[in-house]
Amino acid sequence: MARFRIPNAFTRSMLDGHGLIGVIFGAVIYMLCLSGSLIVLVDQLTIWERPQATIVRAVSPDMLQRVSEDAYARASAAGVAHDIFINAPTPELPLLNIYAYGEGGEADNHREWSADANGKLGPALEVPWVVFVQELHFNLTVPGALGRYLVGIFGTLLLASLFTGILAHRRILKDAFRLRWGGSTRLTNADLHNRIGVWALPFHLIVSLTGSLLGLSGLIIFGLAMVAFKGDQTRAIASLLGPQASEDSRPAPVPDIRPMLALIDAETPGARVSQLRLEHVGTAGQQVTVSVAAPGHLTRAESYVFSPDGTLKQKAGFTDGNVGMRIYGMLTPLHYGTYGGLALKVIYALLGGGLTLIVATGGNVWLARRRDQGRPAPRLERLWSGLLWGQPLALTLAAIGEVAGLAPALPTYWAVTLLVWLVVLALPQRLPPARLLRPMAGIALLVLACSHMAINALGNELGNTTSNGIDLLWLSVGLGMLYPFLASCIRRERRV
Amino acid sequence: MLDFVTIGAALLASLGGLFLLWHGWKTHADMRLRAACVALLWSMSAAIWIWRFGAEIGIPLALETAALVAFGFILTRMERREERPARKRAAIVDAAASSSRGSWRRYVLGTVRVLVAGPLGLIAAMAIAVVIATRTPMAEQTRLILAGLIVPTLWAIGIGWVVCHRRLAVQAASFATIGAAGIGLTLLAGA
Repeated sequence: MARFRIPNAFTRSMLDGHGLIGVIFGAVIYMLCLSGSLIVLVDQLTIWERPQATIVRAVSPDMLQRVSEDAYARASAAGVAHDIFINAPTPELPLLNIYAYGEGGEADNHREWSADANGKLGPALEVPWVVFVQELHFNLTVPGALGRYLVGIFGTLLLASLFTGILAHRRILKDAFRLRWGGSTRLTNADLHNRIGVWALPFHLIVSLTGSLLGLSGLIIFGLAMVAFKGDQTRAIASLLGPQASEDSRPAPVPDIRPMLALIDAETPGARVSQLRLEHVGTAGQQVTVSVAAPGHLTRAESYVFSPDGTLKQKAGFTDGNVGMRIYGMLTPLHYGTYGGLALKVIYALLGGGLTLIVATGGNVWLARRRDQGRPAPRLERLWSGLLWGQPLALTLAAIGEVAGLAPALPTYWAVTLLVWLVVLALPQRLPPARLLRPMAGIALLVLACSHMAINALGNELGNTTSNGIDLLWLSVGLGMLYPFLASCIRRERRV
Repeated sequence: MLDFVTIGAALLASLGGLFLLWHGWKTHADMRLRAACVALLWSMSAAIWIWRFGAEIGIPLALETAALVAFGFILTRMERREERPARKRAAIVDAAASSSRGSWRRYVLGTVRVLVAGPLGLIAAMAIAVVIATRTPMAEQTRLILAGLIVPTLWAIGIGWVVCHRRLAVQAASFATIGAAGIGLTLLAGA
C-alpha cells in the first residue's frame, strides 16, 4: 500500500499563507497575547495595585440591601441613578465595589464607590494600570464597539494562523519532542514555535475561538438573533440576555433584595452572591438581576432576574439550561480561566505566555528565513525586535507611572511604544535592539517592584501576600531579562 | 490532602503517557502497543480530572495541564548546540517586486485578497450560520450560540484558504455563491 504523503506544494502554500498572516497582523496579535497573559491575573493585579483597599470577606443580605439603598441615594444626588451594579467579594478579589451609571451607560457620566466590611460607602477603588491593560486587551484602547470588533477580528486571524500553521507542519510527529537550543537562530525559534504550538494547541484553539466570538459577539450573535427573530430587537436581546427592565419611569422605592436572596438560598443553599444589577432603579419598570457563584460548573455564575416585588422572572440557565445557554455561560471563563482558582490562573498565564512566545518566535523565524535566503529585511527585523522587547518595557513604564503617580498609563504606553520604534530604527547596525531593550525592560521591572514595595512600606501595607507575590514575580522576570546581559558582562570580566 | 493525591495521580498518568510516547519516538520502537498504553494513561488522567472536578471543568483542566506537562518534559530533553555564526548570502534582488509596476500589481492583488478573505469570507460564514440559526431543530439559544461559534471558525478557515492559494477566483466565487445561497434561503424562509 502506498504511504500517504502530503504534497510539497500544499505545505509550501500553507507555510506562505501562515507567514503572510503572521507578518501583517503579528504585531497586534502579540500585543493582545501579552496583555491577555497579564490580564488573566486581573484579581491579583488589582490587589497589587491597591494593597491598601478595604478587604471585605463576606456580605449578608441585610448589608447588600443597605449598600444598594445608600448607592441609590448617592447616585440620585449625582444624577446617575439609572443602573446600579454591585460586585460582591469573591475569594480571589475580597472587595465590595459599587458602580452607578446614567442613561448613557459606561461611556457617559458614572460614579464608583468601594464599601468597607460594614457596608459603608467610601471612595472608589482606583486601579488605572489594571484598567488600562484590560482596555488594551478588550479593545486595543480604541473607544466604543469598533475596538472590540477589531480585537475579535484579530482573534479570528489568530485562529486562521493556527489552522494554517498546523497544516504547514510536515514533521509534526517526527519532531514531536525535538527542542534544539543554540546553533542557528532560525532553528531555535522554529523548534520553540512548533513545540509550543503543537502541544498546547487545544488551549490556543479555545482562547482564540472564544476571544474571537467575545470580541465580535455584538456583531455575530446579535446579528444572527436579529435575523432569526425577523428584526424583533426585544426578542433577539431577551433570547440570550433574558428579560429587560421596562420603560415605566414612574417613581418607585428601591426593591427589597432580601426575599430574592432567600429564594435563591432555598434553591441552592449557601450560594455566594457575586453580583447584583439594579436596572432602571427607582422606577416602576425596574428589575434586579442576582448572579451567584456556581461551584462545580464552568460558568462563573448563575443569574436570576426578579421583578421589584421579588417575583422570579427568569433563571438564565447557565448551569442547568439548554446547551446553548450553558455554552454561552462558558465562553468568558474558558477565555480567562476563571473556573479553577489561582492555580488555574497561573496555568492560563503560563499557557498565554506560551502563545505570546509562539507569535514572537513566528516572526523571528520568518525574518531569519528571509535572511537565510539572501533577502534580509533589516528595518523590519529592528521594528519586530523593538516590538517584542519594547512591549514589556512600555507596559512596565506605564505601571511605574501609575504606581508612583507620575504619569497616566495610556499616553505613557503609546509614547514608549512609538519612541522605541523610532530608537530601534536610529540605532547603529552593530547594536541589535534586543541587546538594549531587554536589559532596559529588566531594569524597569526591578524598579517597578522596588518602588511598589517602598511605597507600600510607607503605608505599612507590606503584609499583603498577593501584592508581595506579584512584586516577587516582577523581580524574577526582571532578573531573568537581565541574566543574558549580566552573564555576558561576567564572561567579559573573566576574559580580561 | 485528597486533592493533592488526586491531582498528583492525574499529572503522573499524563506524564507517564508522555514518557512512553517519547521513549518510543526516541528508540523508533513499534508504536502500536505503545500508542494503546499512551491512550489508556491519558484517558486515566482525564478520568481522574473529570471524577474530581466534573466533566465541564475536568476536560479543559486535563487538556491544559497535559500541555504544560508536555512542554515541561520537552524542556528537560532540550538539545544544546554550539552557537553558529549565520551564513552570509548574496542579496537577491526581486526584479518584479522592485519595479513600480510590480509593486502596484502587488498592492492591487493584496487589496483584492483582503476583500475576499475579509468581508466576503465573513458574509459566507454568516450565511451558513444564519441557516443554522434559523433552520436547525434545536432550542433557540442553542441554535444562536452554535451558529455564533461557527462564524469565527468558518471565517478563519476561509481566511486560511485565501492566503494560502495564489488564485483568488475560486475562493471569491465560492464565498459569493455560499453567501447568496444563505441569504436566498433566509429570504425564502422569511417569505
